[in-house]
Amino acid sequence: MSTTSVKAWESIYFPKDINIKYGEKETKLKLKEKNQYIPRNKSRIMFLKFKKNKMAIIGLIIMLVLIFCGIFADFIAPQSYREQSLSLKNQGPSSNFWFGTDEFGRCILSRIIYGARISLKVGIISTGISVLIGIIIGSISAYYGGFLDQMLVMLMDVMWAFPAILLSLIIVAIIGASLNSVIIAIALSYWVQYARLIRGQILSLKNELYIEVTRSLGANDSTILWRHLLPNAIVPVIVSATLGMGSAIVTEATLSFLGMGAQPPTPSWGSMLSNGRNYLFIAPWSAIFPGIVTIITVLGFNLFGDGLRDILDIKMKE
Amino acid sequence: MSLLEVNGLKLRFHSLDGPVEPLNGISFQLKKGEVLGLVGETGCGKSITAKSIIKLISYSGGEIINGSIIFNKENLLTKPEKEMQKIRGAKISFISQNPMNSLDPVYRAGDQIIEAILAHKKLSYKEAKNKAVELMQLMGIPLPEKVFYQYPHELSGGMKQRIIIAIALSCDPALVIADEPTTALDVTIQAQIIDLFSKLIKQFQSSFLLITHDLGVVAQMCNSVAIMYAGNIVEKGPVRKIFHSPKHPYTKGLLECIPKMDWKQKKLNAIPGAVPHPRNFPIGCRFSPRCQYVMKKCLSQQPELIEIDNEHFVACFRYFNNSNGGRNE
Repeated sequence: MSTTSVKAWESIYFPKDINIKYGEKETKLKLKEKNQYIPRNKSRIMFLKFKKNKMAIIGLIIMLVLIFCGIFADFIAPQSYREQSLSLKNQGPSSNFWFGTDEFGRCILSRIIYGARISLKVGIISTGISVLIGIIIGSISAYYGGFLDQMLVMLMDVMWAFPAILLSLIIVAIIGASLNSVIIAIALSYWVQYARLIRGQILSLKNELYIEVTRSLGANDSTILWRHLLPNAIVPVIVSATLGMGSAIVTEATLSFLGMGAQPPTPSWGSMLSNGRNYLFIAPWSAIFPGIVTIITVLGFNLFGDGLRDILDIKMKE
Repeated sequence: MSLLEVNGLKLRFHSLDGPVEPLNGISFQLKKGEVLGLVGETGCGKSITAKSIIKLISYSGGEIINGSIIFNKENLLTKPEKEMQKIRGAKISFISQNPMNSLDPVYRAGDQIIEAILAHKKLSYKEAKNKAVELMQLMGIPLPEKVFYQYPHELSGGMKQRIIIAIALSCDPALVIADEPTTALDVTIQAQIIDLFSKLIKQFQSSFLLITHDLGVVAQMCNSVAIMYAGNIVEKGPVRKIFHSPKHPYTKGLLECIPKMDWKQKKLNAIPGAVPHPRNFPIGCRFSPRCQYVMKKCLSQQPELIEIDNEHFVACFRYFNNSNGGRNE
């Protein structure tokens, strides 16, 4: 609709002799929106909603910085992560080495920047795998029900009974300590929470009327499950996965701390903490900085996940 | 020639208190191009009859234990699920009761029509989209290009019902089953949807099975009516005959329940009592506890449908002794 009709509207509903309490600009904007058809852009509304959530923005910034560090570690790190200079070992933070040096004289800042790569890799890949396993097992279990469901739920309960760290430790111990086995171990110990989440969602959604209607239109099981049930059930899983990335990073750090994760000289935050612990009284920075970075990263993921929970509501209100 | 023939349909639901059989051998025919109204109170088995026809009853926990459903000379009950999926939506489509929850909230309205079209027809996305917009226009949706991109929660109930009707008619089905298509809507929207239906019935070659408890809707839209009570069809026949000379006491009662403009009396007639739960169906005629003409025979035996006039069937013992016309009133 053109602006003239908007003005016509205004003159009908807001005659000039009546005092309008709220700002004129605001009224005009509101009227325009009512009269004009603006194609609703889902992502735009999401962005606007997200922008209001300051904590989520902080989380996003932390995540983006981390991703940036991970990708461009070669360019932004002042040194290589394996460059040793034994004459400069255990030095405190200085203008040359902002975060100090460790027991081999390696730049801790560089190692932390390179470590972001490891943490991100572990966080994203292992969470991705576990979400995938969780979605497949959870949705099949909920959709088909019956004996299969009972068996799968039993499996989930057994897995759920173990603490994730213990389970990861067992798996790493079986397949051998390396970064890849850490990823597999984390994926195999965290999938249950996603499976349970999606199972509950689909159990409640599969009795919805629109599923019956879809079926009455000739949809087969896989169409209903993957095209109609899953998109409706996925939102809490996405949120939970974002939060789960944080705990995957912590688990990786824990496993590395215990010497089960990335092997030296690969710079993992967990193994840096573990090594730094031995020099805690001589060079506390070699343990403190990796610890702080780990905390901030997990905090960032959690804040972002919380923000996601708010904006990924299907029935978005402006 | 009949398009759909339901013979002696019997269902069983398994509940914790043992099996329940809500349908007691239902039979009816639907000719090509005919509009059949299936009328009855809540809980008399209309919706499960509809769901049985497209064999969706198993998803609601039911099981067809007897009878046959012959559609286009093929028995649907012996068909495997894979073939039923090709029939559903393409040849028989289903319009459900509540438009509010009938559309998937994560897809745009237009995409849902397109999905229904592409599921059964080999068209490109563009062709399907054109067809969808065309259908939306046909359904009387203002600004179809705009509504196409809207999500279900942005649409009103009437608009959603129009989309659902568009989806149901997208593949030119031979039979459309509409399960109380107007119940959940406002009266004004109801009138619009009924008008739309009447228009569509003329325009499409499909047969319609209209399930409702609104006799006004039936009078306006249907060619023939089947009155259901507690899992039985108690009376069926052409609309005019049923409305002009209702024979079964239940049909009479239903017709008396409608307020009329020229009535002097202040109180509206009502049928006393309620439809019994399928577990407590009476042994004899199932309407007997509520019937004002109840006889001894009614309490022990179930009446069968007999033809008392041309194409007019009644299941009531009052018409049994005189088989060539119900004149002994």
